[in-house]
Amino acid sequence: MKAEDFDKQIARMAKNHEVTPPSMVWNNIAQEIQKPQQEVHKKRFPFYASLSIAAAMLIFMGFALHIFYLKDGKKEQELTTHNPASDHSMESAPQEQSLAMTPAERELSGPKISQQIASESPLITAESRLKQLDKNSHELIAAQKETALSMENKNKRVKISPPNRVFAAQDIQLTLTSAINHETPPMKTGATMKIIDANEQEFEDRKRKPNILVMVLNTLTQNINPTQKELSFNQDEEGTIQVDFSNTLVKN
Amino acid sequence: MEPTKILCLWEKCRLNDPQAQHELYQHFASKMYPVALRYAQDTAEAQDILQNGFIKVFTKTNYYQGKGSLEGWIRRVIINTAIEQHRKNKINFLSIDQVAYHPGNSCSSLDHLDYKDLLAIIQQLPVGYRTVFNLYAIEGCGHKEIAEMLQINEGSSKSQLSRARSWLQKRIQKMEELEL
Repeated sequence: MKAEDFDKQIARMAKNHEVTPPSMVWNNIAQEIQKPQQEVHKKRFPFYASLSIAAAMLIFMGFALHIFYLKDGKKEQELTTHNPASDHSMESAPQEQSLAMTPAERELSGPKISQQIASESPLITAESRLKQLDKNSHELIAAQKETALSMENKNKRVKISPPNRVFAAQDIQLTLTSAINHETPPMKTGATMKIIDANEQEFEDRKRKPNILVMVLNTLTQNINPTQKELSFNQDEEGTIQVDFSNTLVKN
Repeated sequence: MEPTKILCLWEKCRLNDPQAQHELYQHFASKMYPVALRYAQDTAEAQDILQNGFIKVFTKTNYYQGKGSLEGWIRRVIINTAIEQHRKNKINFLSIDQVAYHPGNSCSSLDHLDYKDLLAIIQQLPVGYRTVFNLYAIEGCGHKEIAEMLQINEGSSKSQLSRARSWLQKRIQKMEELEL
């Protein structure tokens, strides 16, 4: 038999035949058909519920974020409003000193270089910053040399105020390195007396105001032994704390 | 049942009328069950195919657009369900080497063979052979169409058909020998 005839014969036998399926098949079909309609009714609530939950969560998150940023904004505002005031208070105190300073020092004693650069032009490059630092270092060296000269001339114990009052630590480092690399500019001798006077005044103020640590130590010793004042603490001109044993030695 | 009455039932089925659905099922189930049996390995699998096929018929009524007979469309749905089920069971239609191929075996007449025996032999065929043979020999599909349906090459469809034929002829011969 040819292959085609074989196929035809089988097809003829298979096609004209009917078989009744068991009744359970229809029961299953009926159940399955009715299911989707029931599921649709069931699913409606969870669908809207999930949507509403999602919306509520979004709103809550929004509020939370809003409050969070509002707080941050307030903090920033406080900082911005407080800073100028504090700067003013800082600046108002050494007004007398600034009067006695040279124009170069006055310029240096203003806001820090980093702050200056930031406030003047935010797009200043590192190169321009370095140039600025070099310029300032020259001026600082000049000022320091002026004070040194005047000290020698006067033969007085005058202590130069540490430069960290004017500059940040990093600025000083930069100035020192640049000072090594550069030649020292010509010295200026004008207005040196004013600086020395200012420094003297500062030291006198220090003398008048006893150190807090010294005060605390003295009160402690007094409390321990109130009748016998054998130990006493003092502070010298340079600020070093001295322990006075003289009374104990006298007693012995 | 008259074609107009079938169409009327179908329209009711579109509106999810349970009575009409049951009537339509009663009319076509006995015709579709043999189709499912031919594609399945046993009666349980055939019942699953029939069940899933009719669920598709009643839930996806919009897919029938009135082109061709409703019976032909339902038949196609049942066949597709059977193929889908085989895919779900991860059955590879390219399982050519499952059975040794012995070409050239001729077969005498199939007159002595009844439907039950034929169905039993077909059900014993490997899935790939069975599906290709059913589609080509009984449904009248071309190799190109079969290749698209089963996502195989046209060549492999041809080779599977010839191997299925040879396998069937061999089995029928054996049965004849046993009867004699």
